[in-house]
Amino acid sequence: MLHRHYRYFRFFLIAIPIVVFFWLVAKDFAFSGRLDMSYDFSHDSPFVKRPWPPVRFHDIEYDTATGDAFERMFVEPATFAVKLPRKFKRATVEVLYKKDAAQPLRVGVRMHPEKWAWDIHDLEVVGEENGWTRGRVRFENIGRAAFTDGKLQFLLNAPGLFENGQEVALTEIRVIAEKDPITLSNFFPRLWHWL
Amino acid sequence: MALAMNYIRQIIHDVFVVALVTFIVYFFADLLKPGFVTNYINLNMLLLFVIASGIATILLTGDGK
Repeated sequence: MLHRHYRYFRFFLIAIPIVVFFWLVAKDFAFSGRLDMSYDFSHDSPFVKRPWPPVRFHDIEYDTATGDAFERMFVEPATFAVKLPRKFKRATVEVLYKKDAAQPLRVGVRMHPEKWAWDIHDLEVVGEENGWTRGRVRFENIGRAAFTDGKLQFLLNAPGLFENGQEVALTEIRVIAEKDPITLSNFFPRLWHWL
Repeated sequence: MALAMNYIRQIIHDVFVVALVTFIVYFFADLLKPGFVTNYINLNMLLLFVIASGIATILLTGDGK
């Protein structure tokens, strides 16, 4: 009886790391064609990096009502890198922010690794959450963006921010990267490319 | 009782061996493709688990055999 339980235990003990390994492969491949990443200013994210340079931001603060961490940008532009396990075709960037209504806020993706060339779009307001505004930008062709060292660079552009004495508070940056899902017909070419 | 104790020793030993092999495989996988493992799993925690189960194995087997 004890021996039978021991055999089951050994089976699961060996199976768990193998299953986890295949789960890691599935995450790396992004079988579903979608990778959802976010940075909330309280914990480092392996994918979405903290906006840079830090001298353009005040220190990280915490919302007294919700406890959410946030950072106020007072000089623009700022950039943030998004580390991706592989290339994607499209990306949606969502920013949870607070700012003056007249202050524009735009997001761009770097198109050239050496030139100051960005594909910049206005944030479209899609909702309100605990007093924060959620803005969204969709980039339809990040496959042609500069992809250096496995990273995409994004720009936070707020024209006139410093000149007008304005600030933009950011509490979350979310990036949803998308590509075609993996199917039986494209699995082996992609596996070869991955290897 | 002695039989149950033997099984417990064996289980802890197996946990140590599997954790060690897992750590080595994951470590080299992450070395080959940075972020492959560490984007999702904290390898330091796995290493701590390997050390803890290794110490437990040594203590339970007495002379380390």
